[in-house]
Amino acid sequence: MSTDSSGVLCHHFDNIQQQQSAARMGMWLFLVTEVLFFGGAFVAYTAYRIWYPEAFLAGSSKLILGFAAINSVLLLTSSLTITFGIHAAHRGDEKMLKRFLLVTILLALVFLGIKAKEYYIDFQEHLIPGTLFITPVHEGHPSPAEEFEAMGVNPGHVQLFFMFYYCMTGIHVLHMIVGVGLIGWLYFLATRGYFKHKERFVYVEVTSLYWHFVDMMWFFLVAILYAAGPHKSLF
Amino acid sequence: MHNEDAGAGPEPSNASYFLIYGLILALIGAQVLVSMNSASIGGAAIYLNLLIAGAQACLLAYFFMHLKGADNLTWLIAGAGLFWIAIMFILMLNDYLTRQIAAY
Repeated sequence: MSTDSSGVLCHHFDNIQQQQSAARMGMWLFLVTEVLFFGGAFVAYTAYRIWYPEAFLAGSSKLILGFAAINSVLLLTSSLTITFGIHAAHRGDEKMLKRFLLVTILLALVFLGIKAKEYYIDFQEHLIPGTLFITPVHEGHPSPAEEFEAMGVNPGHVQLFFMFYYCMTGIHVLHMIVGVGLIGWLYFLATRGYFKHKERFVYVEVTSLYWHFVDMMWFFLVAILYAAGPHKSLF
Repeated sequence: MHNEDAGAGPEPSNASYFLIYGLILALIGAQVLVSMNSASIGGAAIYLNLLIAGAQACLLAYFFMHLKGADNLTWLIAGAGLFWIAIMFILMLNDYLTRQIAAY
């Protein structure tokens, strides 16, 4: 399907710049659909946040802000390393490209590990909408529902907050897993010498666009879910 | 931006990326500070947090996602995304927030 001697340029493009621009534009168009995909959840959150502000603040204060801050730093650092990966690919330096891709994957896996730990802690504390929410955590201790009721907050509304928390962070985690898969694929290609042709750096670049977008969504999730309510300590 | 060997590429300044990285790190710290003091800040805390998240997103998009050196078409697509999300927010909230809350 290629017309140039290196096999990089596909036959339906006039030149490599046009091909690279098309790849970038395709990813940007996809990201616009992603904005609207996340946007639906953000709009719904906004409506309920305006209706039940006290319940959402109370729910947010139960989340572990320290984990969110660490994860923000991890994700931001992974954005930096994948950007350096583009530079390495642009230079045709596959060795450095592989290193940067590997570090990016490792940072993402640590993020996912922390998120899993956080979900587990939430589960242990019965901060899950449904039957667990009204079940005492330990013998003789109040359930989360009773605890929130004692604070003068409607437990049903707090459960709504946690529904948003799990749905939105769950969608984000799903995007992270897809991103790790894509970066893993780039790593595999790099081991096969695919990026010896440095024109192919654009494939690292378009994957990085997706990765930065996932990072961006996380910053907004931290703002509306973790940092929204008052916290006395980080952990 | 244009390189005859490899086509259009990222700007090759690592120092500027580290600077942006540092700025966003500082904003993460600011977000934590706002949240830890939100009891005294009051209702403005959520707006401050969203402002910080917006600044982080702008820095990421402009520098890390290379909007800085992007062509007009890319800016148009990014702008269209913002425009459509604005429509979604305005029309949906215009409906839900003007209904009787008792109905829910």
